[in-house]
Amino acid sequence: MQQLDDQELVRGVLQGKPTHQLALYKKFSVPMFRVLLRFARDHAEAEDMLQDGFIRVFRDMVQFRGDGALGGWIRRIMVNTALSHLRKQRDFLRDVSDFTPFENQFHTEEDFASQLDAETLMKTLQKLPPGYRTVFNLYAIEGFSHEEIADQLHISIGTSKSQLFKAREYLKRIIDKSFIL
Amino acid sequence: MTEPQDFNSLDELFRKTFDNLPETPAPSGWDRPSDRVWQHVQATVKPPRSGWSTKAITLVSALAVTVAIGLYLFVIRPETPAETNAPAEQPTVATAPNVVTPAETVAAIPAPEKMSVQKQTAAPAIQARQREMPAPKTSEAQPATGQRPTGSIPLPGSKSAPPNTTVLNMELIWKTPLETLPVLPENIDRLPSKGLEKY
Repeated sequence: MQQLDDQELVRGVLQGKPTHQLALYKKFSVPMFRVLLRFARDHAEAEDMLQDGFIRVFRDMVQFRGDGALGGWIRRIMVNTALSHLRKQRDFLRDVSDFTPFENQFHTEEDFASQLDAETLMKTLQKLPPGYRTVFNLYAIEGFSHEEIADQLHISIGTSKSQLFKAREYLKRIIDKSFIL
Repeated sequence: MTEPQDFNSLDELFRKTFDNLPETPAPSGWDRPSDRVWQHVQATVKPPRSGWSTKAITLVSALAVTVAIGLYLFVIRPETPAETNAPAEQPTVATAPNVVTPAETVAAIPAPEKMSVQKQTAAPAIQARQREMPAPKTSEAQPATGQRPTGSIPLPGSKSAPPNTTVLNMELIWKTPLETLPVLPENIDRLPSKGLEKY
């Protein structure tokens, strides 16, 4: 199928054309799935989020005014969908003091460097507790402020800062531990 | 892959790694969603129906029912007055006693001229009434002509009275020929409007 630009995709989706819906999905499914993998604990949960996210995208496409990039608009919907999923989890903000599951993943510096690709970092991130992972994602990668995180997750600003600090410590210990060995 | 020590912080390590991913998914498929995602999305987000929507079908059905009811009422409306008039006439039929003899019935029938006038005016209504109502069960001797006596029925044993003055006057008027109507001129369109009063 011929490559369609964003305006044509939006127009076709608004007209309910299945070909344009599929084209939009093919164009954005992989980058959005990568975003959601960072918020999810595993592949299956990220797929659930992606499914709900695209349903929202098609449903709310009429609200897209075109004053920004379509990819940015879809990404915001995906992040909001991920946060909706995570807020439903009971142990969303639980504290974790046990690091043992993450120790000894990388036994040598060469081993760490050779495996330090996006997939490895993703898996490392996915093993964080949901609260740590979410706050780290929103603050370090998505660029949210603590006020915005607190507003999105219905937590206090102090809790957001605390979760970010613990997440960083958590990740740092994994990486430092790998280099020390 | 960039060395980890090149990153200023942990945040930057993750951000740069995830932002610099190629557009195409990895060969291992770790960042590729399965096909079931699109299948579920497609099943949920159906294209708008090109045919008749439920609302349109409901509206058309309601319109059709309304038109059908209207036509039905329009068709049955002319028959309604005949049905309503029938009970009003029925007592006169019902009062016709069984004692009426054919001879008396014939005697009660008015003069032929009068009868013909009455037949002309009353025939459609009578025929309609006879179609709707069963013929009254009178004596076996009554002729089955299907016609009712139009005048009052004389009591048994009474003699028929001579016609009164009203009847005689009516017969006189009926026998008098009518005056001919004035003939309009052919060029009546050209006549002045004032002269039309005399016509």
